[in-house]
Amino acid sequence: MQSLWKSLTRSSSSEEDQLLGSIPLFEDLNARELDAVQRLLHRRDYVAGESVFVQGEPGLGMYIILRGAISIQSEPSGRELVSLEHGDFFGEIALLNEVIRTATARAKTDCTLLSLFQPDLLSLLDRNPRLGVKVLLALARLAGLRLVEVSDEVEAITAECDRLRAQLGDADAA
Amino acid sequence: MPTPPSPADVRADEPSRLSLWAGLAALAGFVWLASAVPDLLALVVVAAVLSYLLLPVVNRLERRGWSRRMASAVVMTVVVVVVGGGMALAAPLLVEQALSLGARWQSGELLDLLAELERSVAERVSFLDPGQVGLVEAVRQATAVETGPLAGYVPDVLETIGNAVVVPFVMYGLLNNGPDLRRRALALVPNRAFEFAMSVAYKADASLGGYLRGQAVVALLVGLSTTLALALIGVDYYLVLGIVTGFANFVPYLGFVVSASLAMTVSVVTTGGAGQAGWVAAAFVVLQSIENIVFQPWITGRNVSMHPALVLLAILAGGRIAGVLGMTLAVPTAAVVQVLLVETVVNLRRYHL
Repeated sequence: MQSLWKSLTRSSSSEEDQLLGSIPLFEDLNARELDAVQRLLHRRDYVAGESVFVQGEPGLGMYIILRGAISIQSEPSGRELVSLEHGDFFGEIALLNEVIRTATARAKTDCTLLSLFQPDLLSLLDRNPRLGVKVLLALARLAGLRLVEVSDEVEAITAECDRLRAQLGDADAA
Repeated sequence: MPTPPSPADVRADEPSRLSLWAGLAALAGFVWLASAVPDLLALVVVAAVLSYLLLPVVNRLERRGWSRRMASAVVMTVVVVVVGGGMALAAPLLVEQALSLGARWQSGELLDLLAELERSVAERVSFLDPGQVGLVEAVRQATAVETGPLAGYVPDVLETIGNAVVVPFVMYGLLNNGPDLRRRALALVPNRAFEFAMSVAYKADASLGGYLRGQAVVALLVGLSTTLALALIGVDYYLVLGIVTGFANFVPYLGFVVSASLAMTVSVVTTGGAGQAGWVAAAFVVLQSIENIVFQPWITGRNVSMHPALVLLAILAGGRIAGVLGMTLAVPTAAVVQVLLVETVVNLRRYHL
């Protein structure tokens, strides 16, 4: 009975396990915990040029690049903000809250992505709170780091604006 | 502002479309099989509903560190032992009540009481003749059953034993592998509609699960309280009537009317008067009020928010399509359809599909 159900549902890949262990979100997890997370992931294949998600849509989860490259673009210009490759991940903030996607993710090459969605993370929290909290804590750390990075960028831009404003003031005075 | 799907999105759908067609072909095969062997579909549906009810227990055990396989196996073992033990314990009383009912029916005592009731009604209603009501004849026709040789029941017994094996097997599989099966089903959805499908699937799942589990608890409480109330009043066959009332409670509105009518009819027929039936009616009114005021808001909550007219329409349609099982599953099915429609209308625009 067990083997019949197992043959109907079994899907596993050591490549995925290795990749998961290298992702900051899951780097503190042991093999058993990684296996539990791996069972929540959805594996999706995309062809070059295909949208993973589009700016302005509601976001439900994060994506991990197993194979290929992804371009994160700003709409409507299509300007590339960042290019991501094997082992990179994106859209992780949507795991915390159903937020609107702030950019479009498009496949630069044929890609295979692993996706983890908020309802699955919430069900993990319900079934295995210790593991769920570990993942959430890592996610919170990551969000904090991103916030610090953005804060630094804002500070740098503000400083640059002040410098330009000062230059403009000097030029007007002259 | 969002952009429409690129040509690559359209091209990219090709492999997904293939898997979608394969999935649709599998679904068509399943529908064909279900229409060819409707009993099998009914068993799978029953097993799915039961496993849905037990899912929180498996999740709770998993939360305590049990593996999902172990949790599913233990829950199934407990269910089999409890159901089997309960049937073994209740069997003597159930068999006694059923045999008593059968003996009284065979002796014609119940039909005589019914004829007496019919005469009594006709005497009190001036424009009716005793034979004009036709109650005895209607009951006689409704209960006429063709009987055959004993050997003819052997296939039925074998089928029942087979069903008793199939249901726990499917239940175990769904409890242990349900999340994997759902993931496999979602894998058939094209990339562009994937997040949308995920969102709808989880909302429908939450609505359906909450409703079914809430209704099961309410049905259990109503069944127990009805059994107790009928036993206290002294109604014959109180255990059978209590169990029937509990199950009938899965069909909103109609379930209450049918089970109350049945209990009152049994009371009138077995006592030959309306005195006890009045107490039965009062008990059902009180129990129904407690259910509506206490049980439903407390347990079922806002899991399914549907207009009563829509609920009745769904029940009638379910009854026409699949009989009693259809009536029982009508409201949860309608609730899922409602979630699908609402989410589709809202999300199609949000996801630019």
